[in-house]
Amino acid sequence: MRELFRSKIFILLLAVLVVLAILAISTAGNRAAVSWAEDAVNTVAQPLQKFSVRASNAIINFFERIFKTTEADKENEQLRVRLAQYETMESELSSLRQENERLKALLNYADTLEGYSYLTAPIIGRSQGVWFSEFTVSAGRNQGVAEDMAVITGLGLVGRVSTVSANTCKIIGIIDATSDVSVMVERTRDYGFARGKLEAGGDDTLELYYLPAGSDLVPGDAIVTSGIDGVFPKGIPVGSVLEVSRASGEQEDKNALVRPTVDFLRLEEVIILTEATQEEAQ
Amino acid sequence: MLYRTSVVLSLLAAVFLDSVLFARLNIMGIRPDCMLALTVSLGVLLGQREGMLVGLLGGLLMDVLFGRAVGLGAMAYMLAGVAGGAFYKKFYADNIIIPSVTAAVCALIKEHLMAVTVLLQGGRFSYLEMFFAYMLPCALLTGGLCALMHLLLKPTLQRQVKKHYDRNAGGIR
Repeated sequence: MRELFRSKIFILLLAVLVVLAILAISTAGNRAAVSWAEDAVNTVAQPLQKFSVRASNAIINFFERIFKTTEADKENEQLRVRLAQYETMESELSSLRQENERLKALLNYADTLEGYSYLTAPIIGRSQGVWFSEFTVSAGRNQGVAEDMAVITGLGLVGRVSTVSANTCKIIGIIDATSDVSVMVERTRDYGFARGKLEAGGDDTLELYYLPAGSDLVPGDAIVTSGIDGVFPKGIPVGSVLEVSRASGEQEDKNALVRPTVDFLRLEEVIILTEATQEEAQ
Repeated sequence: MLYRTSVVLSLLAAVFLDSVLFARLNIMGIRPDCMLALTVSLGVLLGQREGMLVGLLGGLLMDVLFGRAVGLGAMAYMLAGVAGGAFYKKFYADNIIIPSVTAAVCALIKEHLMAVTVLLQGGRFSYLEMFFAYMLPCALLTGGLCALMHLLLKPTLQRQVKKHYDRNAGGIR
């Protein structure tokens, strides 16, 4: 034991662990700006990350094609074999068309956000494991992104910006177990809080808390942002009620399980609401 | 030079696999931790100091690019590198059981570190459910991946590592 404490590597390890622990504690919360070192790493890595995402999408599409099993898919595959010479072009075209459709859907939705200016950006990385639902997006301070801006897609709420560097930012998803969103049941107008549920199995769900006693909640009820937390604009779709666990609703108890409207596994581009125009701010 | 290039390329490949590919391609959220598997394998092959350095750099890179807090992953990966390095030159390099068991144990430790962080930040979850349905399968997958990586890295690095240590007075650590 004494030998271990005398070993240089052990002393070095302990010293670095202490430094890293202090660093982790000081950087665990929201940060409006990151250090110059993080900025530099993010800027250098950004092109590589963009390329990686494209490469991984191509790999995933390849596997998805292989595992498609319905008759229509099989027939489609046979046709693809017969049209082998067009396959490369077809694949590129299909990929472009999908991207076009996704962007069109985003833009169509964005057009409805009259009171806000916004920007669209691709997701270039995700946190490792299920403990945190954090996404790295290819837009940062230079594009006008700031901490706590709301992030959405054409389907609904994604999360909020947590850390901003020069050309990238990190987003905490609403499915993160440490993320709270002030929400409202669209039908009954009851207010509550939605928090990400951490569970094994890869199911992205939210838990609904703090609904008033006697709240009449039924499966299928739409949940939207309430707008009272000052981060998310009012009325953005969050999800729909999957299962009601306490219809009577007591403080501290979970009221319902909510399925988010956004498919977080297939999330590729997002809209960041950069600024409320004067009209909306009033 | 080639040895260093191989290590850097392996690190970049691990970053890509962890943050992009396995983030989307996984079975019910269960995925291996490539960076951890790589760190343990390199620790076993190159020694504690190198394992520690690779773990520290790889962990910091992952934390800065994708992590919640800078330093959290780096701590776990650095410990994994040191743990792998503890077996350096103590077993035959062909032994894949040692690196894979070490990687699985380190993966479990890392998952517990993440779980504690989530709890400290106010998250709630069922420990037993997460342990049996997520942490344990992930650790086993990481162990399996480490065995595979070890098999791939050993022949790639062997000649370079030998040269490196011959130059450094027989590579006594």
